[in-house]
Amino acid sequence: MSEFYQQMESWLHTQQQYWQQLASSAPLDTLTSATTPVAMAELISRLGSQGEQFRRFGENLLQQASLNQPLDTQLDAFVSYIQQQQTDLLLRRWQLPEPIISMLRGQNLLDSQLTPFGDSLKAVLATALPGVTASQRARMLAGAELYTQYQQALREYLIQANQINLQARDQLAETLNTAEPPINSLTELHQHWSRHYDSAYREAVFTDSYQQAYGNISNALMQLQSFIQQWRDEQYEQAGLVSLPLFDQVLKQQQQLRKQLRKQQQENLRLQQQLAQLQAAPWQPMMEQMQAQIDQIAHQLAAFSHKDDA
Amino acid sequence: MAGFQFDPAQLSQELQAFNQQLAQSYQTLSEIREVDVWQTPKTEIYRQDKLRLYHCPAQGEQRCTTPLLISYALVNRIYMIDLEPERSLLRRLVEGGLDVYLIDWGHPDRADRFLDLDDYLNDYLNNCVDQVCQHTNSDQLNLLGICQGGTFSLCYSALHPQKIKNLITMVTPVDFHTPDNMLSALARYVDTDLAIQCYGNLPGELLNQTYASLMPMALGVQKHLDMPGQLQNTTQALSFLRMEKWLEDSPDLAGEAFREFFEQFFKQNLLIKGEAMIGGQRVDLKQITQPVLNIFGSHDHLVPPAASQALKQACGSKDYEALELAAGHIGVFVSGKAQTIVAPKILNWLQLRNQG
Repeated sequence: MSEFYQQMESWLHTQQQYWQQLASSAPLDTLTSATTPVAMAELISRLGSQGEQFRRFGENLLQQASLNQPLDTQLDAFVSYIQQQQTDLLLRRWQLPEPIISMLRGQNLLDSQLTPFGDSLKAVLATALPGVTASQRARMLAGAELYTQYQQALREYLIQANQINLQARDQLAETLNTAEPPINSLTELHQHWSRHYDSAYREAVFTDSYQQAYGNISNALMQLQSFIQQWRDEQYEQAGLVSLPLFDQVLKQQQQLRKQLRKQQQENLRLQQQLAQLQAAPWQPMMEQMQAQIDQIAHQLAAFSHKDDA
Repeated sequence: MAGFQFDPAQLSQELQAFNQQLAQSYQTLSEIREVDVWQTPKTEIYRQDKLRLYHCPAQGEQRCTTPLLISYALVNRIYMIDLEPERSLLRRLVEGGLDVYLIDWGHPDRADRFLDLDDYLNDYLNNCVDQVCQHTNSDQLNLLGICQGGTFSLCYSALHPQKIKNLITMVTPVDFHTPDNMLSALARYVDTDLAIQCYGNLPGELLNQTYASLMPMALGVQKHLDMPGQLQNTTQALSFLRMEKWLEDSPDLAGEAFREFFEQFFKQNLLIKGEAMIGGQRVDLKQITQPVLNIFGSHDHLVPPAASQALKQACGSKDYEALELAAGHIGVFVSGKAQTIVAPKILNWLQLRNQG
């Protein structure tokens, strides 16, 4: 145990040095202040969170190593730590946008935790509700159906993602059994994981099951978003406001007119050029026609004379 | 696990080094006030709606009398070829004596929702071609297209062959259904009409996420972990941040143009079949008989080499040349090789075909 305490003490010392260094460098709040470009603020946030995760995992690993945990356990801990990050990224990518979540909540279509509600809510909606018209109920049912489809698609997509993780884990374990020289740094371990994961992912992308899962989650998310937009547009129209489809209709007409105008301008230009050509050399087209006829006759004569020679 | 050995003392040192790097990164970032890009001198010579056409005059002795017009993809900004003076394909071309014109397509908004490929090619691009010819008093110009801009250049050259003297394509997809095309594989079951109904214009951010998702670890977790190493001093950090700035600066894609491109090119692969239609006209790549230089990267994960190489058989040019670079999609124009191999190649190739 004394060795463990020694290592922990050394680690605490390292941490102290790190925080002192951080404190003596630029304060974090000034880095994300108004003077910092927006993209850089986002970058700093990513840098901070990724660094924090890396450090936290390193500390755990250090603790496990000090407690003489088997390497298998350490590998599992690594995969679980990185898988969590990947799943978080995927969920962020495929989650419903916040305005839609708020709207669903506002319409009582969603509980506060965004948990599955599917059949139970549909059962409630199937019965008459006080103050809710039949058409409103039908609309709510349709929304509930789309939301169920979205959740199903997300589940199927996460299953695919999990399979990729498992394959990458197996490949990494194989590398860890055979790597020469042995892998002995956390950075190297990450690099190997990235390589194996991207390779497993690439393989999956070319399978029909992954393509379907990807298409389903993309389409389900968009269907739900479109549904909410349609709902909102109807409300706008009822309130006498211009809805997005009406606005689009005007834009489409404007675009068609613009196209017609362009084609007419091009035609005008072509005619103007022809006119200018004719004005510059009025006999030119007739001369060209005569020249072509003379060439043709000369050609025929030459052919005739060749025939005669033969 | 013979190949996996952790020494707690070494791990402790590694974490300490990482922490130091992280602290230094914050320090470096605090010293940067502006991330400047696109520094090669340029003048705006034409604008239409959100499009801008810029002129970068040749520096030193003019090598080629025919002007060069560069068209980039709609989904990113053209200053990719001019991120910083040391990594600027544009600067190398201008210094090499080329008169260069650049199209910046701009950021479409909801009002541009119905712009289609006909508008982009037969209106915007065509007007830019005419403007450049007028500006230089030429009948023709050399056209260089990058990525989707390359596909546009091919379509334009096929539809208006008389206006293009020489054609250069860089990392340009021609056959969208090669077996290694990840984007087409992902797109297979995505409902394009629904996407347009849902978003109007396709958000640039969504496209960026899709590109990054092609290598989820290398361009995700791993990239973030490597970041402190790129931010140790201001010069290095600025280089990194310029690229990040470009990556983030992704215009949305006009809805109708996206739908046409996605359906005809990605889903149905009509360009290579000679069946793509733009503004009611069939795009026949065999109409491209002018000299063609096709540049692509052997490690390109977005546009696999085979997708670009298909141009050789598809076009009608008898003067076709390919340049394969050991680089990725972006490396083809920002890497050291872009400066030492690509730029000189373009300069020499154009100079040789300047007359006649």
